[in-house]
Amino acid sequence: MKKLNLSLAILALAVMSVNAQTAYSDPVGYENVDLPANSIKSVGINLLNSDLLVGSISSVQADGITSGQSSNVGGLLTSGQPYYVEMKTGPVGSNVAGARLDVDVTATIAAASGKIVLLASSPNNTEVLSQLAPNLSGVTFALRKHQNLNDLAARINGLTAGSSGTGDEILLFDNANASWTTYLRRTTTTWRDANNTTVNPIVPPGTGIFIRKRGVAGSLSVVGSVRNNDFQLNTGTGYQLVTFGWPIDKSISGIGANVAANGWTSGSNGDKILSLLDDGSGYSTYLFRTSTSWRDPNNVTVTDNALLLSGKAFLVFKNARANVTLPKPTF
Amino acid sequence: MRNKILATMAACLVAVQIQASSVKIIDDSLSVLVNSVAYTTTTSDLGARLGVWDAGTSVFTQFAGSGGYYSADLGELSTLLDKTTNVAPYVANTQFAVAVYNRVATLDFASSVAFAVLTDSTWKVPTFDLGTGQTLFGLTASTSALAGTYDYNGGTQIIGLLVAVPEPSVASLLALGVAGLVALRVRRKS
Repeated sequence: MKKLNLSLAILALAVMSVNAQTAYSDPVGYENVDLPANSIKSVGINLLNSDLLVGSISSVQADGITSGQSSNVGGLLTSGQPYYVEMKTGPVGSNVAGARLDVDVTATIAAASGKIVLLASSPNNTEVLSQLAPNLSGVTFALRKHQNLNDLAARINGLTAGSSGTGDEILLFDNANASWTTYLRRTTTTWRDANNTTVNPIVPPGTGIFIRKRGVAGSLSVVGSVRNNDFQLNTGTGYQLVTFGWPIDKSISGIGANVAANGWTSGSNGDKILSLLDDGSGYSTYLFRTSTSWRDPNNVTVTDNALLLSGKAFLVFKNARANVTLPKPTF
Repeated sequence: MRNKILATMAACLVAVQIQASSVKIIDDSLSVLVNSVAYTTTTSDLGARLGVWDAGTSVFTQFAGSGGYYSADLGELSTLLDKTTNVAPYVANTQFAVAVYNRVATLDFASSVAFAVLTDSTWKVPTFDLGTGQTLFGLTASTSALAGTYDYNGGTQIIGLLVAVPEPSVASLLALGVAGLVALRVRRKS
């Protein structure tokens, strides 16, 4: 009996010592956006799908990267599903940390090795692989599945299917053509494009959406991982609908937008951020007026610490294409 | 100096008034006749496109980026144009039309083999901007057919007898044949 008590005591001490160790995981978060009936809301989803693989880059090829952490990355992927790689680290001063590149799923599955073949021509890439390559050795990356409209559908309470005018819609902004692309919830399982073709487009990280709710109120509830590295936005000339990388309210300086080196341009015709008014009747426009200050519509320097609300999307106007870096905030 | 200050303030006072980001024609109680026969195919919709009709040349110019369909099983006509700016040919207040066409082979209107074109005096291109507004249009008693026929009072709204148009290759062959006949006639006369 004494022996048992001693064993129990040793076990208890062992458990206590384990409990005493502090384990850290990447932060997780929760977003909820109310979607009133007959309304349109700008929505930014800054929560991530789970990491399928976190590894370090052992070598870089012309068409991909190789990880030493998996002998068959393709085995982690499902054919027909979209995936991307995000760099979690990178040399200071480079635009590597936060860079994202889409995965060539078919080629990666076929490779059946530690190699991840990347889609060089994907418009979702924040940078060209060859530009990143000199700084990629040893960089830590995460492999994740993209989110798509079907994923969002599962997270929208009160999502209503119907015909044009009665079914809910999601709008994506097409920077290249400066136009909106509308997707209709035509049936309880399908999104349709303007040609009534069933589609399921992805919503890449940093991409904002508008949700048009018809007659039934609802809400969007998203649970996911929180990014724990810098964020990169590949902005084009003109307008784009973006989100700023983290599910927390931020100031303009909080995303590093008051620093030219992060990819922002100031001046009387400088970069602009447009925030949709709550009633959907227009936008508040903010201008990067001087090298350090953003101005509101009344030409007053913006000081609002929570101007860039979590869960909201913003139109950004750029006079020229630029890689914009958003430094990781302090959690 | 005063002008510079005013210019600076003007640059900052950027106001975006929401008008519309898109226009859409919708109708959910429509039937379509193709060569007098009710269109009942459920596996393939007819295409529908917004654009402008030039009666002088009988040419329908589709607005780039517009999409649309007629779904026989739903009796639904829907066609949508998303834009943010009023650049040509989307000039504000321009009367537009909708073409409904056979899209069995392709979504492309240009290669359709039959079509009808409708318009309405109220169908005017709105002022587009970055906004999220949507201007809805419908088929009414005042809607008229520019090609084909349209019957609002015939029980249900009907687009009748789509106009058959020769495919470009057929038209080219036809033109070549006519040219050959003319050449032959000229040669015989000489």
